[in-house]
Amino acid sequence: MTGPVLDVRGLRVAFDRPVLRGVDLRIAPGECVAVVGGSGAGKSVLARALVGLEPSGSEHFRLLGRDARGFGARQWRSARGRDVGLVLQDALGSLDPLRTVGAEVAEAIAIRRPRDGSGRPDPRLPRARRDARVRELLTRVGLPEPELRARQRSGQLSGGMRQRALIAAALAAAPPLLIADEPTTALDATVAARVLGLLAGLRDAGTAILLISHDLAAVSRVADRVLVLDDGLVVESGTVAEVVGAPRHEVTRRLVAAARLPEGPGPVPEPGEPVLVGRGLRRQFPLPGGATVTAVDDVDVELRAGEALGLVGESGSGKTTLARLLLAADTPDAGTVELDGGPWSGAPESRRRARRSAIRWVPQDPLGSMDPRLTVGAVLRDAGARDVDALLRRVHLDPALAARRPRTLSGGQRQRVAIARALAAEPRVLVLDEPVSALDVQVQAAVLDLLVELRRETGVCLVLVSHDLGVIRRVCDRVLVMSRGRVVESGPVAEVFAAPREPLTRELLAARGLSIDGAAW
Amino acid sequence: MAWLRWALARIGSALLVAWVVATVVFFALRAAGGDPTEAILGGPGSQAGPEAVAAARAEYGLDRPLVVQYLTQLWRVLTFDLGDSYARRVPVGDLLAEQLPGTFLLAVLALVLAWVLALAVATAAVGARGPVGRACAAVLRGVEVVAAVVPHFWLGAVLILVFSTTLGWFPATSSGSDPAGLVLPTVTLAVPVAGFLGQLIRDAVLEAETAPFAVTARARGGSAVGVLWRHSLRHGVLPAVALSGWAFGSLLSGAVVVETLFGRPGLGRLLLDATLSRDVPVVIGAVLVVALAYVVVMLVVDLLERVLDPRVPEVVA
Amino acid sequence: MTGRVSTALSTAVVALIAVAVVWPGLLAPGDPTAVDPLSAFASPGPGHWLGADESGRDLWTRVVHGAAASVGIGAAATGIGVGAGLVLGLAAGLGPRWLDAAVGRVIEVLFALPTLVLALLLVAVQGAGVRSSVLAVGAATAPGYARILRARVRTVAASGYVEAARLEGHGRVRVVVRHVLPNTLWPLVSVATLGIGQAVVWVCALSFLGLGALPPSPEWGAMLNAGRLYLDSAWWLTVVPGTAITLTAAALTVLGRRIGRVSA
Repeated sequence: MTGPVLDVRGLRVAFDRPVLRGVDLRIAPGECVAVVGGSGAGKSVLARALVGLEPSGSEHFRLLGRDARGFGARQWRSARGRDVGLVLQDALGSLDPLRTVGAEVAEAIAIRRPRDGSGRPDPRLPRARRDARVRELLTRVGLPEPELRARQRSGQLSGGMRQRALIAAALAAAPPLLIADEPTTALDATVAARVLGLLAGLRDAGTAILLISHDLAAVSRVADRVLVLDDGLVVESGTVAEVVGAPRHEVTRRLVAAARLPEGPGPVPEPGEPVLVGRGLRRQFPLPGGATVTAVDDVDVELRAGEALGLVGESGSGKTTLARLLLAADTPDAGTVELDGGPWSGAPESRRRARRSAIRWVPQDPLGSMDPRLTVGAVLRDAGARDVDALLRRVHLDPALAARRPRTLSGGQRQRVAIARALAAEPRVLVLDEPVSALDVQVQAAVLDLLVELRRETGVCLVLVSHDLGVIRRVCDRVLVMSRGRVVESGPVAEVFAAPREPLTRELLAARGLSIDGAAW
Repeated sequence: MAWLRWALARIGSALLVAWVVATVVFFALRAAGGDPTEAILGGPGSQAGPEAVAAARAEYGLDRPLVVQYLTQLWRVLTFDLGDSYARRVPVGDLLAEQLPGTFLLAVLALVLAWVLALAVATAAVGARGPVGRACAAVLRGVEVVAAVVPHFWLGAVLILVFSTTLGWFPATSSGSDPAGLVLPTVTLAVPVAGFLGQLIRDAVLEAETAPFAVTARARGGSAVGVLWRHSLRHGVLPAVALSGWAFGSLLSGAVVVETLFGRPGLGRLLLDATLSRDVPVVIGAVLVVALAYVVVMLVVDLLERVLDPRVPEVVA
Repeated sequence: MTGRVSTALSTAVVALIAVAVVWPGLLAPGDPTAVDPLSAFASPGPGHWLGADESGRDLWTRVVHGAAASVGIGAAATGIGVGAGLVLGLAAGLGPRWLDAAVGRVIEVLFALPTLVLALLLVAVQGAGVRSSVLAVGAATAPGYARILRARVRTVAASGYVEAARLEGHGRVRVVVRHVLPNTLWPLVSVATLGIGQAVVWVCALSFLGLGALPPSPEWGAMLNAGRLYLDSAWWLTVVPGTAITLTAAALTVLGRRIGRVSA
């Protein structure tokens, strides 16, 4: 094909209010275009509007050269799958949990013969040929052991495998255009990199790809061009080098800044006495079927006064379990934790209760950690706050929020309230579990700035759990890299970043921001 | 192997349930119901002399200690001997065997009809398009709410009034498996269950229709009917299947009322009469049968659920 | 849209019933047991707009005055059911593991018996009458409440905010009183509202079977029982009290769901 696969001008979608306010988009065969933007920019609506799943208006809308503006429901249906494939955002929910992966892919085959095939789709394609085709597709997207996977269901696959299976189903009819909405968001950094590699391979084989993401760093590895979407408008577009190298719009600058590795916390005080010390910690959990998994395996930790320690690793590496052991939210099977030189993990809860004001927790899900019936003010007072207004101001929130319920706050506000709550009793240690992973990039940066500021001004020690090395680098002085329950690398943040010894650390680093900084790829 | 273990565990717990029910019923009835001799000798007001009482007590073993009576009864139950009815002087097993088929036929027919109605209403509500369709769907929703709470005794009476007294289409009384006589009792029993199941199915199907996997199926080019059939409906019936065992129980509750209303012999009537006359062996027998039926239905429901929802609690292979 | 209409209708019905319960004379000033042989079996129309029964008692007056008995009995039975469910559910949810296992078994056994069969059993134990039908329906509905409460207590006890409170150094009693109980009991308002509607139906079913309130009383189930004999000739004797029961149950169900959605 010579013309563009997709050519849209002035695409508009409105629900109660305008969501897309005139978007122009053009994709050539074999090209990969990325649309990036914050949450609420209209990215997912764009993806759905482009396959006719949202009613839209436009000045010009050509799909494979055909005018799609007059498409009725029937024409859109025949275009979907055959002309354009869509991989939705939520890989866990996008595969029917009751059906096997093979059945899902076979369904896509049954609905649509490949474009190169002739005639109508034939749901009665002989079983053996359909199975062979399913295997072929699963192999093509790099799913290991395709025969086994085809018999499994969504719940038995890992996140990366699910994403690959979905891509396989979307490719069943070999559509010339593939739209992928946030294909890497829920994935570990190393897995995300491999899925992006798969998409790059498809592009090289001639499929046009539209990539939708909030993460400029991720998409810039495979995209040829980038469009920045903000509040339903394309505010900036160009090649990756142009957009990343010389961002003109404010939104773009923020996205680029978020994609770069952030600055460190600046000068830090000399670490003082050990405050929280864990020795030989081990924690096992039973699995269904009698086996056990060792979540934390013989780990030593030491946190000194004034220090900020980062725990980093992929999901399942045991970092959250370790944090819970330090908090005495959970009891180790072996090893001990000491707080301020006294027994902590070994002490009975009745003894620990009075000392809990010294070590406080900022959970991953701030909303879930607050009683839905209580106001913010009540939550803070329960936590030991004497002056709620001052505490809210301390985390840069309006004291008027004290009368609101947590549910009515934004994600960033909730996270600040969670931090305020943890600070209420003026603890010596804060343990933060993925404090920014659910937040938009701009809000992330502001919350991390707050943590750095709190450290400097109150001298509180931090234990910060994150899958994101960038977050660790912004806040912490020392880092433990965890894998399968063990600490595989540790040291001052600057040293680990400058000269990572372990392959895992290098992968985590590579997954974070290096593409934008122009290294290594 | 794991499957066999699961089935055995289920049956074991079912037997336990049956045993506890039987025990509780025995002691509760005997503790509070006083001496059943009265029931044996023709109910309250019978002018039996002391010799007759003593003879009856000896005949039914009522002169022995309660625990011995309990163990005797338990042993009999284990050997499928439920003893004799106090009031009717015939073996309880025969009575139950006589009344059981009619009631189960009624309950099963009603459950099937309820499922058909519920599925029809739910899919119609999900498939409704356009303002007229949506208005109809809204009305159906209202009908479902009323249907789910409508008492059997009232619905049955109204049906008799309309279809028997006024139109004369179906008889108002019913016995055995006479097809015309079964219609009104079956409908009476089915409608409340249909309303209940219909709401469950509709909510679950609507939720599944907006789930990412359904959107994905549409993005593959699947048609509305195809997506409903291959994806949403299966998710939609799961909660209703899970509660069908409970629904079957409520059908047996309803059978007591419906059999009384339609003058139809059956387990419900038997239980009611036995309750009124304190016929302990019959009450125990009927309750045991109901409990066993419930347990069997739950077993079938569990099986069906496993077929429909083969997900295993297992993470990454 | 339709939700708002049905909520408004249900609220109106419930308000009307409430008036009938509290001050029946306001809606129907007559005497519900006043016999008037001249208007025996009067069909609905002027004079007796819902008709009259075999003794010429005005049906509208009887239905209005019967509300207190039927709804009162239903509410009392729900109260007993919820109370027993609370004890069982909280004991299972908050108590030690063996207690939970024991209560779980008890609930499982009770669930093996359909509500009405269980109620019949209890009536068989206690003898017929209003008091025992209240007790029977209450006890028969208790396992349902216990199960809901047990599940709810477990959800709340495993929630992030309970753990957060614990990690803030609050003791067990304080956590239960401040977080677990309020968050467990509030959803019960919705369930209990629904439950009163169901309990009214069950209680009337017992009366209909002749095991609860007895005919001269204007209780709705008892009216149905008395009217059943005349179904061929005087349909209103059955339809009128039956409609009152159905409307009450439907309105309370809609309202209960509404409360459930608001509190969720």
